[in-house]
Amino acid sequence: MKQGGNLMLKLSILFIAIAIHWLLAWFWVPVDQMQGEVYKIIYLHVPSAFAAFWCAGVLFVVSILSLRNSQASRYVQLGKAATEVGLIFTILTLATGSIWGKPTWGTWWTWDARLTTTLLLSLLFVGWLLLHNSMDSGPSRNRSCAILGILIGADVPIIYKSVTFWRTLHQPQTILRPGGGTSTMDPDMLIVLVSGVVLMVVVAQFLILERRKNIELDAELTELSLNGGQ
Amino acid sequence: MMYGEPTNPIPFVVASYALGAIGIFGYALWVYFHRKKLTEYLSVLKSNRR
Repeated sequence: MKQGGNLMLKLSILFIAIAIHWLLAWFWVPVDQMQGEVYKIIYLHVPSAFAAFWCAGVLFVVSILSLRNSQASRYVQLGKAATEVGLIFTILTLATGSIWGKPTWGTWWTWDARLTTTLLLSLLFVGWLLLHNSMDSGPSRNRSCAILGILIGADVPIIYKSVTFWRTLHQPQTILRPGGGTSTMDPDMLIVLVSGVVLMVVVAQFLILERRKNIELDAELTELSLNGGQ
Repeated sequence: MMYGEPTNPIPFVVASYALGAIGIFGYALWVYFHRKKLTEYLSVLKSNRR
């Protein structure tokens, strides 16, 4: 089918872009003086975190729109897609951070401010999906999910600034230094890192939109089935 | 050996990117195959209406 072919083409382009970025991260950027090769997890860990933040931001915006018009189902459909994709990227952030933490900090996990608030984000995403699945579709569900979606969005600035607000084990901001200073990263490392962040945000947005189409088709299928195909 | 540098960092890096591939590509492929199934079912239902 043409629609399926278009989606596979778009997915192929994204997969190739991710593969090129990862190859650059593995073979082109220099090795870190202090951490050695293990630091290269940063090129997946940081972009995943920003993608998760993007998803929470999308959820925040559609939640506000949903509160203004709780009858419309399109906002909660977009919210569900953003929550699913956000959960994937948050889990990826936590997992890659944990894998990176073992050789560098000597531990898989610590109740550091950034780690804890990111774990909270993942639990909130799960909570949103449970809330959504536990209620029948309608304005009441739309409103409840919207309120939780706004709370989820509010967690993101807390996560981002946690390394500034509190004394943490997690390293401070690297790309944008506190107080507006320039990054101390090697320029080659910085360019691959920033391009990875942009790429992963694009991937997240793409997945949100395509997943949302599936949710819409699913709703149409349910309606047609309930109406006996009439 | 510097503090924090593992004796062999490669398994850690490989494990991270493998998880990334499974998570991102796995979800994307699931979206694709789910779309195929949904469009197929819709097509059958709509043709049964006629």
